[in-house]
Amino acid sequence: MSTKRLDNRAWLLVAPVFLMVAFTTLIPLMTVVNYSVQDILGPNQRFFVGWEWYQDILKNPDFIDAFLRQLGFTFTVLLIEIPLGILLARQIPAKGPFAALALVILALPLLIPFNVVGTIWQIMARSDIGLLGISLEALGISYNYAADPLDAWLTLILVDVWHWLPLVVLLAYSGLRGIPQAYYQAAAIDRASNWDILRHIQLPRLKPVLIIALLLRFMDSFMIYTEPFVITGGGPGNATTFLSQYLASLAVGQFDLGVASAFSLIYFVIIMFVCFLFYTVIIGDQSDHTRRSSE
Amino acid sequence: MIVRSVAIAALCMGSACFAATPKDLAKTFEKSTLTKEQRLKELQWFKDAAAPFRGMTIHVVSETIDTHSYESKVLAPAFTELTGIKVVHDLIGEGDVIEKLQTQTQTGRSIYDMYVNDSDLIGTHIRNDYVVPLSDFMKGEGKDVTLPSLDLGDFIGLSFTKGPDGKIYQLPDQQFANLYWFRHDWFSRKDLKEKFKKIYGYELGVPVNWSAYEDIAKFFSEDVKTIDGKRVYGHMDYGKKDPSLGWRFTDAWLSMAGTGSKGIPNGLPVDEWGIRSDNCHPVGASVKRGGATNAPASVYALSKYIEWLKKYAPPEAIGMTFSEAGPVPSQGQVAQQIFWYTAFTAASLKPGPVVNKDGTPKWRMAPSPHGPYWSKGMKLGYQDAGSWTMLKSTPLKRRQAAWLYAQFTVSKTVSLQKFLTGLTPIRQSDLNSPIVDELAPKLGGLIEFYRSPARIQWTPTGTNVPDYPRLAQLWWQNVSLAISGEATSQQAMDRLANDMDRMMSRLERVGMKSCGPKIAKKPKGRDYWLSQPGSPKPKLANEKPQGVTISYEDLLQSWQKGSAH
Repeated sequence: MSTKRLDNRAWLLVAPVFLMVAFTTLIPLMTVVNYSVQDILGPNQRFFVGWEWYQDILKNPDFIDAFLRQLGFTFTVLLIEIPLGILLARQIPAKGPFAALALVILALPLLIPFNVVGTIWQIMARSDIGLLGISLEALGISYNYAADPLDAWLTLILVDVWHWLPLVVLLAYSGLRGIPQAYYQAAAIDRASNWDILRHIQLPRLKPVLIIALLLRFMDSFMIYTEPFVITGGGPGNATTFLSQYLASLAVGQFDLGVASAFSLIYFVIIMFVCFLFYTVIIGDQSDHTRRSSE
Repeated sequence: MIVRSVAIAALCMGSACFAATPKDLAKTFEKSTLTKEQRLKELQWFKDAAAPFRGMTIHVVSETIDTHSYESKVLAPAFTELTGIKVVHDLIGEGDVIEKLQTQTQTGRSIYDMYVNDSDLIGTHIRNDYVVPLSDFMKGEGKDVTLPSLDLGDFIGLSFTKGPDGKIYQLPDQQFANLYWFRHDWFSRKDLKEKFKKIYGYELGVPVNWSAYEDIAKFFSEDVKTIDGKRVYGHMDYGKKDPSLGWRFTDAWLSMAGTGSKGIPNGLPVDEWGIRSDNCHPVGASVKRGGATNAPASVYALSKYIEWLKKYAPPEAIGMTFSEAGPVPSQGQVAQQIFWYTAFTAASLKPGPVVNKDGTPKWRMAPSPHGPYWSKGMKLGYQDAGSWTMLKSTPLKRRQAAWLYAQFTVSKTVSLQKFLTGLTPIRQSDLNSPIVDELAPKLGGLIEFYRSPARIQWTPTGTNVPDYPRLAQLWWQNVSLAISGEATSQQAMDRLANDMDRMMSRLERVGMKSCGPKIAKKPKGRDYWLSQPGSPKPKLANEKPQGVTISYEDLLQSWQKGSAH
């Protein structure tokens, strides 16, 4: 029988953490869950509705369309930014003044606040005063991001690539710099082509960094709000209304707390699921790597 | 005057702000309808009434327009100097004002001590228990802090801020209307007049109906195209998916087309939002429930808005918001605008392409033309009445101090000077002032409009709308679908009407303090209601009758007689 005395005062040591988590996560989350089963239209105007909002949202074609739009946008920008980021990173010299200059210039868009990015491009793309809009019109290309859904999409994709491609480039560049010279020397002895070097040396060695880049860009683009809010307002029609804008219009615009709470929980579950997928891929990748190293 | 105002502002930058006597301020506000002695008396009353609140800091908020900037930069410091009550008068967007007000009503926590909130929310305020009826306040808790010379009968927009119970819920602080704006210099050119008559068969003039407006829009955008080498357009509007797109419609666009019943200030039983009410209870917005939001007149109004925006406005207009589109007519490319807020009057008088060298405008404002569904006895346009609003969740002492400031901003001592600055009149006495007589020729018709009995046809949203913030949100989201072509005008209005019925059903379910919605569970159907007299009205066989115009000079005369046209 153990003679050690249990000292419950030890709980005091974890109490601050518990309180912090409670106030920052648990209580807000439970409040949202509580709201999501009520119709709340005023301080004294509440009505218990059970699962009504969840059923409404999941059946709502606007929600499904916004979700599909969100996926489409995210995968489009990932398909552009990841390969292009690797390509550009490979073009930047390893050292020298040009390398430093290129890195500084590339980092500039990352320093600009989201709403400023939106405003810059909103003006740039206007067909009457914007450099981009006027240039396209001068080339005889009909372009109006406020009226044409395709133009609106192309504009938002361009803005996202301009804003976030540098992040992928910087991550890929740092990954490339971490590959030992011995690999390239071995490739030179084998007379490997540029493509072979990319395929058999660089991409496998970049994999951990690229997964991080992919994760970061997925999360950011899946939550995109400010740029479409400023540039297109979600239009024309619903063409660029993504989940976050839809949610904001319910929660902030209409102050429809019950519906918005149910919506945000569904949105939360979707993001959790995607995070879980990424986590599984990363863990799987690390296990493979460990297994191969031990062999 | 400016030096004096700056001095007042400078004195009051810190927490301590003293030393202006009523005598000093009576000199400052010398442009007033009161005599110097009357001003002294009024200012002395403010000083005495504020004594129990000296040293307090109160917070109020309003939208950002010239009138409120004047209040924030000049009147608030002057009030502080006079009374010792420090006033923080914040200026934010109108949408943000509603959001702050909504947050305070939802949480019950005081954010601002008083709000300048559009009277469009009157239907919301009367149905909830969070707004202090000012009629009650002035007789009860606020009796000692209510200005004896407030003279409520002198306010031109007081009917907009009363509930069906006859009580005043808000106090008007500034008003502006939505009128027709046109380039008087272009409309007077002989060559253009002849060309118009040759093509369309009648005189170029102020359009009386939408057919004429459309013809004139087409004339300038497609037939004239350039004036003095510059591209010109016959129409201006905005269409970005944004909350301000909702105002474009809820600010009485449908009433101009002819949706709704007869009645001033708002149609009864069906108002210009298309909401039918029965003994103050909203019963539906869709035609199947007796409403008119998706009635032929409303669909016609939306169709024409989209058609004109795409065909006759500058191409960039479709991507603009209210505030981006507002200054465009002043840039000199636009011949006319059917839906122009007179709040832009001061900005349109600054030196530029639409102002003559002597400072007189090249443009004029006139009554808005009406659509084919409109008939006499109906409202014809919108009037904004930003009004002081007091919430019950604000502590009494703060309410009393804020009420003193609110009254100061509308008192006869300062109201004329405020009107001359922001051009948003609230008092009949100011409009009748000889100072205003001298100013009238420089304001492009603003004074003539406000002095005319016809102005009663321009009114804000009325009491049929039970929850303005929530219902207004539905408009821009559905209208934008029709602009992009994702839905037809009929489909967009059907969707909007159903969304409004649904929201009103929810309001009915949670319960409202009074006059709550009673949405019919078994609607009588579209055919039934369209066969009844009045609104909703069946589709007209001809929605484009012959265009009718009137000369501006004849129009001024008709205004004086009290009719719009």
